[in-house]
Amino acid sequence: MKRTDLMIISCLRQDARMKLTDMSKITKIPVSTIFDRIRLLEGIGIVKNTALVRFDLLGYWTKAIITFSAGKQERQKLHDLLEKSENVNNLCRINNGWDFLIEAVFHNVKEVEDFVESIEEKVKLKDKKVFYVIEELGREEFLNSPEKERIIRRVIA
Amino acid sequence: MKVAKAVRLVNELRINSRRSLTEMAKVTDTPLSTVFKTVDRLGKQGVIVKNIAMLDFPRIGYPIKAGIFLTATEKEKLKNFLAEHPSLNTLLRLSGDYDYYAELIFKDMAAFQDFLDELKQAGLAKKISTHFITDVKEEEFRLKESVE
Repeated sequence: MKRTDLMIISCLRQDARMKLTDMSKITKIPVSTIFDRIRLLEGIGIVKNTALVRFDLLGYWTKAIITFSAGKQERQKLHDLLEKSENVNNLCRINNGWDFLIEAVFHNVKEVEDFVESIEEKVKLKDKKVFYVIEELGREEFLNSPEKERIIRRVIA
Repeated sequence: MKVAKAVRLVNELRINSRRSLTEMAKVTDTPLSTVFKTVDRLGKQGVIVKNIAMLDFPRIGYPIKAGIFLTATEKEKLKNFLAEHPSLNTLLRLSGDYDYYAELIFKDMAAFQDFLDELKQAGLAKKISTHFITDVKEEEFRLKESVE
């Protein structure tokens, strides 16, 4: 990946609504180049632009990280259930004893328990573990500023 | 009504936060001035933390994503170690068996191993559970719009 692209990505990681003119001032890359590169990057590395939200301020007081493991035959069923669930914010496959890790959002602890129970009713789980999130100390921080991008390039050089 | 509009706008920003306010006004059938005021208010109230580009890290040269559960020997020092590490993507404080969950991104296995070595050398974690991650869906939670 070109250095200019990483600089542009870093700006968009810092603020996806940043104006191209502001991006140009920060990166010293011409606006026209930034415009072209963003269009290109949207087809390669940028999946989407989204707002990170404090759900607790909107009444969703409980966030949990939950790990699941299921037998080979149940894995796809579990995958489909988790993917379709409205509570699941992030879903990923993981290794080392587990099949899936989710980050899910709920109004309260009872909803978490009901959610896990409903999964258990539909899928034969080998194991599950619930970790309640007390505090978010950082989210989507990687490559989130041109300055950090410089540090990373120094580290990996 | 105000709450319902705000919820709708948050969801629209979750779908595409780079959309202009004019486009959002059209999509949500809301006056532009209301969209402007509401988005501004949501930002000032801290509801919208930030607008970011979500990346396909493997496609831009960072194929290793690790999720690590950690129990600290010294909580504050471990938190600072993780928060300041250039590979950190997400850091959560947890209740229960582990103190923190950290998601980190690396350009290769050697960089990942270097991180683990650094962590062990620092002696800040007494229990570590490491997992490699493949994303299926990210930042997909939507607020229920029937709040009216």
